[in-house]
Amino acid sequence: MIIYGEILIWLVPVIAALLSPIIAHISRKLTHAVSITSMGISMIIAFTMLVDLIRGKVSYYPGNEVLGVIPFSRTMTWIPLKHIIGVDIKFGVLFDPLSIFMANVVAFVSFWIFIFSVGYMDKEPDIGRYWFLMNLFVSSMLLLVLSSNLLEMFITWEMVGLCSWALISFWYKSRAPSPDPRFKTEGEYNAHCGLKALLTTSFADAFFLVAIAIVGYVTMLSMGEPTFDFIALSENLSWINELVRLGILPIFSIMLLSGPLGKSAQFPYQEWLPEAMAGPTTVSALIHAATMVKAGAYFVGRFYVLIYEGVHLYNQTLPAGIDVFFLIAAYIGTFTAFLAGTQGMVAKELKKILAYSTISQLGYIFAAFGIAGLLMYQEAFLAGSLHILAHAVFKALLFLCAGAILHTVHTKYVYEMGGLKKYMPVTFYTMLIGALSLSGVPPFAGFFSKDAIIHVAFQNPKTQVLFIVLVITAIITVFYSFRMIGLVFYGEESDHIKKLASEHELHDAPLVMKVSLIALALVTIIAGIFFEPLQEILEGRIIDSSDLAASIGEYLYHTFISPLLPLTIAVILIGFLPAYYVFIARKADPARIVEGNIILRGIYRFLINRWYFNAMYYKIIDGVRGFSNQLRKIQTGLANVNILYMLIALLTALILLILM
Amino acid sequence: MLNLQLTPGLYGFLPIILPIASAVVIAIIGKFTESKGLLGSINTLFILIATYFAARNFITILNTGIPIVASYNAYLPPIGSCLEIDLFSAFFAVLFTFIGLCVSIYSIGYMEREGIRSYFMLLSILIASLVGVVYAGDFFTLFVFYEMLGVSAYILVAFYKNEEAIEAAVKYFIMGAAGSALILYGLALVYGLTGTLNMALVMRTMSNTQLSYELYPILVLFVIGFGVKAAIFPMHSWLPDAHPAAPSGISAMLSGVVIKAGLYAMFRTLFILFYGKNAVQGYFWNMNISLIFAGIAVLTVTIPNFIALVQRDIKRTLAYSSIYNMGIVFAGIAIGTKLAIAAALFHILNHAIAKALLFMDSGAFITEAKTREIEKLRGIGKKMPVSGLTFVTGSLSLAGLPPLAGFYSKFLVIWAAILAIFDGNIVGYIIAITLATNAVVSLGYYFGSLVRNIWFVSEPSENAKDAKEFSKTIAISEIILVIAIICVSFLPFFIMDIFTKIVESLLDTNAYISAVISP
Amino acid sequence: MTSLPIQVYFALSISLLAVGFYILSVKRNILRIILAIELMITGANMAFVILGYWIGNGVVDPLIRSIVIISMGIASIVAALAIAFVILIFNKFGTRDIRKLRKLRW
Repeated sequence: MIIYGEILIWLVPVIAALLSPIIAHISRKLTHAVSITSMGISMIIAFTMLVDLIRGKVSYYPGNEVLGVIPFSRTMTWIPLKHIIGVDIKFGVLFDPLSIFMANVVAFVSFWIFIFSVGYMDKEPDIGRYWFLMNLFVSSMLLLVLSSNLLEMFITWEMVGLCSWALISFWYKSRAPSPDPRFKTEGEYNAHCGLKALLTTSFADAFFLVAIAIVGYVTMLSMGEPTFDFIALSENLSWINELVRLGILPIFSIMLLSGPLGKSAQFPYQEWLPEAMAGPTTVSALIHAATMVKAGAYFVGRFYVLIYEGVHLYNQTLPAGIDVFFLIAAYIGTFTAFLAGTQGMVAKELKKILAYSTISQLGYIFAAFGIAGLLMYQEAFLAGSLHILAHAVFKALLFLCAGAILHTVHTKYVYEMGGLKKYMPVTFYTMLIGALSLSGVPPFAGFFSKDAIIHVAFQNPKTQVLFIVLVITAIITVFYSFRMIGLVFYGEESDHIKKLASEHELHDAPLVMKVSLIALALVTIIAGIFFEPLQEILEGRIIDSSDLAASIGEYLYHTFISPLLPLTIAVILIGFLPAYYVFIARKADPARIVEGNIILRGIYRFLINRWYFNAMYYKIIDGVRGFSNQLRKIQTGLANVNILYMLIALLTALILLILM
Repeated sequence: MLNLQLTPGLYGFLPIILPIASAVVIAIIGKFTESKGLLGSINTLFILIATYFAARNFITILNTGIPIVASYNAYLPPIGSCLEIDLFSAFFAVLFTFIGLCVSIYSIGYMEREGIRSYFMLLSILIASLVGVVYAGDFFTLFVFYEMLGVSAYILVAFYKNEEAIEAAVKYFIMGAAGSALILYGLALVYGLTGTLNMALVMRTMSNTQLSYELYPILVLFVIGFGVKAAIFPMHSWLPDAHPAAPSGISAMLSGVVIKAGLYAMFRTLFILFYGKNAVQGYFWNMNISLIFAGIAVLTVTIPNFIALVQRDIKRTLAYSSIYNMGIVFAGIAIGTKLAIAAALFHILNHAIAKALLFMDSGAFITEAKTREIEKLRGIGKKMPVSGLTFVTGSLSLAGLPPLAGFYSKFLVIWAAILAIFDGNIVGYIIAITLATNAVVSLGYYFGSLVRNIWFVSEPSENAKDAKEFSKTIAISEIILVIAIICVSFLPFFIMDIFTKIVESLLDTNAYISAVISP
Repeated sequence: MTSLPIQVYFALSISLLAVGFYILSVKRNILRIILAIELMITGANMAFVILGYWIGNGVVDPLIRSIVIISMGIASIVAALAIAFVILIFNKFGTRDIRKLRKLRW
């Protein structure tokens, strides 16, 4: 790693963020250049860290003789509380295999999305604001994955949420008609969507914060001084025993999970992510598919590592009862995967299909990490981590393809598209690669990671229920992927497309956008090869370069020729054939099929209304407003009553004090 | 005759005397000219010097660790009245004079020409009495300054003399006067108990006693009495009326500092009388007292916060939010550990700066749009970029979103609550959950209502269409406050260190006592 | 000088406070409300004098005398302000009824 890399990696984007609104007044090109350069620098620094990792300079092992290097962490005092409670709150970075892995995923995907942005945001007036927020987001996200303690993680956690809010509402000035009848203009709708995301995640984070504060308490009980530091928490797992002793472990687990569930849009917080698609597509790709929503899953993975290394490196016994945390994560993840997958089958907007798919795939990652923690099963952890990588790449690719399509056709409804294959060949092929990867078709990246998740669920008798649900969801995934491809690229051109084609030539994406698409598509194709060494790295082992090729070959062989191969093929076929029949070959009219059958119609109604969760949440909000309106009446406006309140308070306090 | 004890006691008087001198000078000059610029500049200059001396006092005490005592040589305490400045009160004085300075700058551009003389006179007297309340070394001096504070605040609320202002001021006045009477009665009881009203002496006398039934009425009288100005829950009802009715600079003063002065006075008296009495080691209050406080704090946090959700008036929303934030501070006081008190102080700082800023911004908006309804102010932030951007920044800080400072103080209060849970202090759970969930509710109105309507709007409303920045001094004062917010946010290691020292010095009661009574 | 036990006077001062509070919370007439405030302050001053007499063993503490005099001065300031408010209310609202001032109730 280069010198001061641990600071520069997030400081460079911050500087770019602060510069861009100023430079935007001078030159648009320069603004683009500054942002991409800074992102490039960050990516290179992240890559040098990866090199260090491969050379065995970083691992989970503190003070390991073989490796000689501890997980690199550098801290400074952030909130000094030494005089009050005996310890300071630190602020720092932690480099271990997991964080470096995540930082590389973030930096790599961000870089290509930044390049894509140059083309996509070409005609936008507020380019300074765009780059400011994007750079700030990337820097916060890098700091999030590299943060060395819980509190710092929470701070960056909220910062990425803030950037997400501002970027979803990015087009608040738009005066186009609103897609939602409750708002006058599209701009207001966008602002509403941003707000929905912010409020949902903040509500989830409120409990997360309380849980973090509880960590600061139980560590004080068990270790003598409060700490939020990941390494310190791992070194001494007795704080979990303290939670068990106090009898609050289940409620603590729910509160601690609440934050990750909110950020990763898992049940019951899943409703904000589809609306978050109101922002620019690059934002959806970067924040709401590839990086920020992964933060929740990353936290569960981090928590698993903390426990696993605590048990295996520091030779402690596994604290009894901690599996409750992972149990909840696994079940909620699996349920959400199914929930969102079904909604993805009927979604009408291109980006919303992808959004539901994102929620669903994040459910897979949650399930993987949950199973990992439940059984202390390293395979599951590796599968989940690799799915983070695979999903980040192919979902970013899919979103960027969607962005290229929206850029050209100016509609977001899939039923207004169709027949785009001949107009946008590059977009078509790259999106197809993304969809294949999403469906888990070999040999694309998604196949390896998703198969691995299903595999680990299959292997253990405890998780058979999860296995079944995950397989069903996999079928659904294949179906909606090809439904999307079919509706967009195949079949008759819709009236809208015909009109556009007659007015001016429908063209493929500009070169700068194509570059990103092709780069990400290539990574999706070849990523599978690198999964074996990545697994080694994530496990904290040094890669043995002598028989690297052999081990990769073995890995590929084992993945292909696994007992689950027939199942994989069956899943793909069951999902693909109806989608092909209806949406690609266009042999039947989907609307007629649904209308003709009363059960299908009922299911369709249920799914298109998002299982009625969304309506329920709005009802709750209305309830809160109604409650507030009732509460408001205590402000009577009568001076006498105000004094009466005082009198009552005085007497109540006095009586209570004397009685107590 | 005026045989003042010179250094360093004289400096103790200056932050009080200078604003009063300013009032006198303005009274004289105002006879000849009604120029806003001239009177405002004179006032600002005086307050600036006062701020300098307040800061100087603060730094002196921070370095030496010994409280400054200022009194007449002829009547030394305990017989004569005195000012005693420890680190705790010095901090408040700096905060008050600083906000006062910003408001003074702001008012030059904001106020109309009419009545400007009495406005600046009253503002100076308000600042002087605020400093007096925190510098007071005996209870009666505190009471006198407290009344001075009240009278100037009532008049300033009624400044526009329209129906709304009079109604609000009368309600404020009735509650405030009743509260003062309760305080006076409480002081009489303190005198009856100890035979003196000098704070140091009372502290020395009380330090050896146990908690007993005689003390409960005193406690209740002080909590309710001072609670009026501090806008603690059942006594809060004047605040949402008074803030919108007053000129915006005064709203900033009221919300930023006057309610804090109420809370300071309450905390100081309770600290002197009840600190450590029958309490668990490491806690300020006895468990029962703590419970009562926590109950009040939970109500103060929750109820106004929900009411703010459905407000339509921008200043009323901010006013309810002020009560909510006072609830957070009071929750910190209720928990009563060192950490909680430090966090409460931190929150006082954050809220004072940010809320003063928000009121100033909203004042600028209202002047241009001639309406206070949020719906009609839509999009005005875009038209007035300085006020708009500072408004968004202040909202971010107060809504408690990192990385701005409002988050740190809220988190520290929550953490202090959690740390207090298992020491048998069950209030911790309630406070932690209440604060955490209420933070979300406050996001609901800061982002769902205020920021969204001020900034995130596709087209400005009828009223906001022709708005523009109309005064340089308004912009200057807003920018000063935003810089303060950013400094606090990104230097928490520096700020929190000071609060740690303040709490430490607060607990060093011997130094406080021996500064007045030579052993 | 023979006198009633001090508790009697003390009860008197408390009842002054209580009566003041009661009037404040039920009466509509703004002039009565001002009188009630004065009553409450008087009650507090009275408590001072009684306690000063009690502590000084029959001689009221000179400190308390000065305090009570200042406090009465403050009370007169408050009263003056109150009268000013009464006049303003009269001019603007044309009523003495405090409950007519009820616009601010949102």
